[in-house]
Amino acid sequence: MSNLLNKAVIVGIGATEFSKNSGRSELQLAQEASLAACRDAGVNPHDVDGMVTYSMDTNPAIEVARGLGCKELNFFSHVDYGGGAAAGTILHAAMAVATGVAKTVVCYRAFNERSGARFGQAMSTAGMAPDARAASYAWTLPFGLMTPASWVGMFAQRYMHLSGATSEDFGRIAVADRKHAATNPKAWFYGKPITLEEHQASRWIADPLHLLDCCQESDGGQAFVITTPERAKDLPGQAVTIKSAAQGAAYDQHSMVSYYRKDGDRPLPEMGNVARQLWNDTGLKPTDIDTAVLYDHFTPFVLAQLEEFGFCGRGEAKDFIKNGAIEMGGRLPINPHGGQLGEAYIHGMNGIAEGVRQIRGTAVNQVPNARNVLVSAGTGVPTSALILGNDY
Amino acid sequence: MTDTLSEQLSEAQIEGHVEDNVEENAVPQALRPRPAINLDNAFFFESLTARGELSIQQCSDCEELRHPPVPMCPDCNSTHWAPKAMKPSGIVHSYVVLYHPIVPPFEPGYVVAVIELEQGPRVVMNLEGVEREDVKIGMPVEITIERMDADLVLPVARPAAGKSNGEQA
Repeated sequence: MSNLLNKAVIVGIGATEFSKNSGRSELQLAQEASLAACRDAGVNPHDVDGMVTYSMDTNPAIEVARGLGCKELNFFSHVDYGGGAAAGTILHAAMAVATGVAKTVVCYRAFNERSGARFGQAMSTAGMAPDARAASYAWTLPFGLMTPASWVGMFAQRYMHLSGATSEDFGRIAVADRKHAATNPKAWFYGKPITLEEHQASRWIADPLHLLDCCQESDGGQAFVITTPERAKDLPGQAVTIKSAAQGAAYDQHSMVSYYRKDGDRPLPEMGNVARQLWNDTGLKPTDIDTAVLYDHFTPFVLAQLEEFGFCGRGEAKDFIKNGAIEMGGRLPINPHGGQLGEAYIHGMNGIAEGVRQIRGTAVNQVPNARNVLVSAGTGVPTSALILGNDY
Repeated sequence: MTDTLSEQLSEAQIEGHVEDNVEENAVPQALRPRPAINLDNAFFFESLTARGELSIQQCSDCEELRHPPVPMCPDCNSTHWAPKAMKPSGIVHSYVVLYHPIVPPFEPGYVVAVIELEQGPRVVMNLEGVEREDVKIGMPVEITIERMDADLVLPVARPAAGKSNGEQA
């Protein structure tokens, strides 16, 4: 068990608008989101002394800090593995404040992922030095396995074969997300729900994945302020407890293409690792979770996550999600903000903000009396997740 | 590597181990992405090009096969290893059919599969010679080593001749 239980809080959240063309630099988005988080917390940005972001973020901590006017930084961390880092940023910040290494840490992620470099396009290592990271793509790119959808589609096909899940089961995730986004004014797909028939009729991207199995591409920034429960008492922001946060990789881990494990029949053991840590740390169990924000860059991995977190047994997610179980009012509403399929793709960080709003009781699609909220980060990669609560 | 891939390739083709996957008189076209080759993975591509063999890294101490290659054996932590030529047969472990985005020279509807080799390791390769609706997980395949262009030789899976589609995997 980690020694982090309830020793750090999220006291501020802030975001830019989520769009398809922000019209400003990624650095400006990062600074705007960070400033908004500081204002929500009631923290003077000059007093921020720690910063955490992702390996894929293009905004160096010192550049964000220059704009915020941070007097000095005592802690900066760059969490690896793309969207898998989302909750990891909160873990690193929580460790820093719980140990006294820093007092007030901003976690941020900002990009122009639609109007700038689009992650859904074909990956290339052309021009890169052939280091271990570039060489890892030698096993996929020459064969035309070049996009996140293609990498996940390979897992999805195997998962369907083993579990009996169908494309319609994947579609039920998309329908739930879009239903929730339809009543979230900040969602790109506000007022635009979809039907299962529309999901089935959407074009193939990487069979077995239809277009509507794939998340949006978005521009935007999201940030958080993390501090100790003691310090938060003196701040106007409504603090939310980080009950536990964990990172996880599994045996023979690859990035998006862990096809080679001897147990090739479990798509996301790395999330199982994270889940075990969260349950052990908190003493909570799946039935204690009031709502879950499950990373939804592609729908099939939402099913696999329900299994890895123990909401249902292996291969049973297709049954668990039926009859509106994952929609508002169901036994486990997921992604009340609309997720990355419905609200925006901010690399998992907008999902953490939704977790905070659910605990604060300020979400537009509020789960009544939400006490424990699970938020997971990018799947298929080394990942992370956290449980937020109102024990503060 | 001392020779260029194309020099090695012409020798292997003379010996008849590498088949030609390029149509004769084909119009010059975009090339497949090149693998990023380094000290850890060069043997795989050299084995394909120079000998027409699909070789997998084998620990010289505990004999464990491992793919994708990694300098240290995960089982016994030895750094001694050698390439081992695999039998050209396996089964489809999973597959995906690609439609968007399509980057030339690939064309919509091509199939990429994870092939589980008869000797155990899994390798990503293209699956050809079968309609996509006829692809089944568990179906037996045979593997040929084929030249994609002047400097790229890759393994290709095709349905195994005379074997029914399996469902056993």
